[in-house]
Amino acid sequence: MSKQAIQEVALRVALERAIAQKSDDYDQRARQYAGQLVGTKLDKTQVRGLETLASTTDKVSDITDWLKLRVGRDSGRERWAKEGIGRDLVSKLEGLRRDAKEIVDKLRVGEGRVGEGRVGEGRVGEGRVGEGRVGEGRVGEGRVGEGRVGEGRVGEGRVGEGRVGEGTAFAYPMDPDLERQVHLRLCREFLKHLAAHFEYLKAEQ
Amino acid sequence: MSELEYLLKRKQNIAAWSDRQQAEAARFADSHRDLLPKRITNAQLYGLGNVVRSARRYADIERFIRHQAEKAERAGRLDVQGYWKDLETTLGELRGEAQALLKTLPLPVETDNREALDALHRELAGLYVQHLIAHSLYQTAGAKEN
Repeated sequence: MSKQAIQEVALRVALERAIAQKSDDYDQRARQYAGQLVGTKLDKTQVRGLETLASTTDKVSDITDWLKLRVGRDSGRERWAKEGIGRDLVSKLEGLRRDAKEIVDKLRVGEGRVGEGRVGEGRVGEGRVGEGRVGEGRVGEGRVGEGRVGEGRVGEGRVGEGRVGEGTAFAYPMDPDLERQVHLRLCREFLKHLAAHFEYLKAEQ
Repeated sequence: MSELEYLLKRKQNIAAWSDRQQAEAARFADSHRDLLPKRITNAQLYGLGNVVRSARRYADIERFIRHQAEKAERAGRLDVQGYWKDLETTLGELRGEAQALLKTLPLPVETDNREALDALHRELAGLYVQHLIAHSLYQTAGAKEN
């Protein structure tokens, strides 16, 4: 496995972890929105429709455009426009951009550290990726490919564990589109919780 | 770059462009908010959306917008004419954006450059109009609420 490939795996694992943490944080807020939504005339298919759109589109703007259209068309203000719920949701989803930026910025803190001399000397194969040492110069040194990365340590949560941005360093420039992609993922997570809570509360009704 | 890579890259670049342009389209709608929804009706906006979605060449979109501007001029509604003229300029300028995007994507061999540019221009115009319609309706509903 090349150094770049290892870095990409490390980045992906750290990202997934950060997104999962944010997702858990969103659960309560999504429940509150769901509580408001059950007070409207919306039914399951419409909320599911939003969730499905979010999980299939590659654009955040498709999600907010969808909501804006529904708010705009709800002249009776009994569904998405009722008591400003749709507008609040649009603002909430747009606001998740800040969380996406925070996640990506933390990952960028270490960007460029690798390359200060020690990349290629190191010990990725010994399971230290994610222990804060990628940036300290232990990536590489012939051990990559000896099986240890693939022996489960990367996947055991060490990469980026509590340390996103604290020594997780990425030698290769990050995709400039990453923040947008993370924003999209966060929107999906939020709407996933929203749809689940909505269906649950609707059933209780 | 293989064809699959090309298509994926193209899709990603267009998605990123679309997300960036949403704010720009919202600004356009905001700057013409006085005309919504009486002078520029929702039906007109939906009509624009249908034309943009079904157009086979960018010129078809341009023709529709010019026609709307001419109709407004004949009716003496210069503010409405101004809206369509502004929109024609804005969408026309997306050709430059399409050119810039194409530069970042080396076309597969045997691709007709002019056709590829026109197709991309049409696609970008479609995305811009999608944002414009959504924001215009959203804004109109907001004005009613207030």
